[in-house]
Amino acid sequence: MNLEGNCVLLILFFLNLLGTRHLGDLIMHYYNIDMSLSNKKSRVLPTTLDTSLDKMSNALDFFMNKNILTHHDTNCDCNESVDKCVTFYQRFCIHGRIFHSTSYKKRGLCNSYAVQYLQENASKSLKYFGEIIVFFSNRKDSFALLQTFENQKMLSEYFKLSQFYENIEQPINAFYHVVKRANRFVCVPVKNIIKHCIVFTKNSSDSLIITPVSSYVEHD
Amino acid sequence: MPICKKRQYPLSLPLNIRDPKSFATHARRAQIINQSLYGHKGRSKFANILDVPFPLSIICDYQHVSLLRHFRDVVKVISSSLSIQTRKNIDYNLRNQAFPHFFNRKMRGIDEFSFIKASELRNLLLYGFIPNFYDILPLEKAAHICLFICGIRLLHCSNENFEKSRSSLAGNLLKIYYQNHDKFYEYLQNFVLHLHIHFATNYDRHGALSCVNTFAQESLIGYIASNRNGKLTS
Repeated sequence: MNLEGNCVLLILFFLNLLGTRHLGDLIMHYYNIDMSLSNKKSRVLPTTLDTSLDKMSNALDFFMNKNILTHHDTNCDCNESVDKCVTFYQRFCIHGRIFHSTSYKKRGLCNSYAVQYLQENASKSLKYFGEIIVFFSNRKDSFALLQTFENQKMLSEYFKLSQFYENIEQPINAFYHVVKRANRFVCVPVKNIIKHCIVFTKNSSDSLIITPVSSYVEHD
Repeated sequence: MPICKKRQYPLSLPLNIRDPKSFATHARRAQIINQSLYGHKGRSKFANILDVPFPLSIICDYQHVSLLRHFRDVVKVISSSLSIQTRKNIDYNLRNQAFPHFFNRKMRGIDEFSFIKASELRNLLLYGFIPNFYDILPLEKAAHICLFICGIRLLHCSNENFEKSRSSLAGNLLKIYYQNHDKFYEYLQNFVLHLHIHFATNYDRHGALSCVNTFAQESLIGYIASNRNGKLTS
């Protein structure tokens, strides 16, 4: 549904209420504008929007991080040290959406660093979640360092005795995941980061409930 | 005690669904005999304008049906069944929940529900309700509301793959929710609850709930009305 489609109509509403004599001319005028806008072919090809943002100038502790060191040794074929080759970033635009990392300090109260990601050569039925600690890129490619969440028991097990268990088992396990922060760090190519997630903490335990964002496009 | 002020619609299966042909003939008959016939009161003025015949072109506006009416009433009832201290804890958790940066609105506490916006209720329905309430409510009641939330979330914009199609799965969930509704709530089987039984067919016809937001320019209606100058002629 095109939101601008009613643009002409709305202007007509205004004119009707305020009173104008040159209604026919004006309709043609605005209609022509609309038509020429829609006929105009956009010449600029949509390029990929994925870019790095907020380069970190002072990232000493990340140069010492052993996960990044080993990742650099195995994945980058340059023969230089990490601090010459790798640059660190606080934010990244992936698939046209901005993702934060925990090293981005201006994020306020929002949480845009909990994400769902794809793991290469893993079964598609499993879902992987993590928190982005920092983005980094070497000469060829960009990666994110993630602290992973470890899947715990299914949320549906709580409802096992309920009469509705059979019906809600599949969907509730697909949408809500009970996880725990694991002490495991992985480096993931940025294109494998899919979605933002919302994390719910429970006061009593260290297990979290995580759920991916349902829709990015809905009009508020 | 709540008093029943609204007409109640308990689920009666099988559903007697109108099709375009019966809709048109009954509407015309009602127009001729000038009486209500099977709920028709005459031919609609829009029938000539729309290019899709009538019962097919009707969309349930989930923003008003699910969010602002049904879910809001249900949450109010659930919240009033809790003790004051747990209610306060939940309100605190809801207000302080972190969301991604592109969420324009977060969630509100249940004590200020009268000023709530549809997008805040959407966040509560799709994301916040189950994690905050599932271990507080009695088991059957929590599972029952999970039926509703999973059904809406399946139809909202999900791309999960299941054995069955999304719409049939969600339709089944909403049907079971409707069937068992009177065991858990009093006097809430009103028209908006009944509309949920048609959500699955709506999904197949018109697409996901997140795309059929019929009031995308709702704010402009008020703007035009307040900006007018002179009398509106009928």
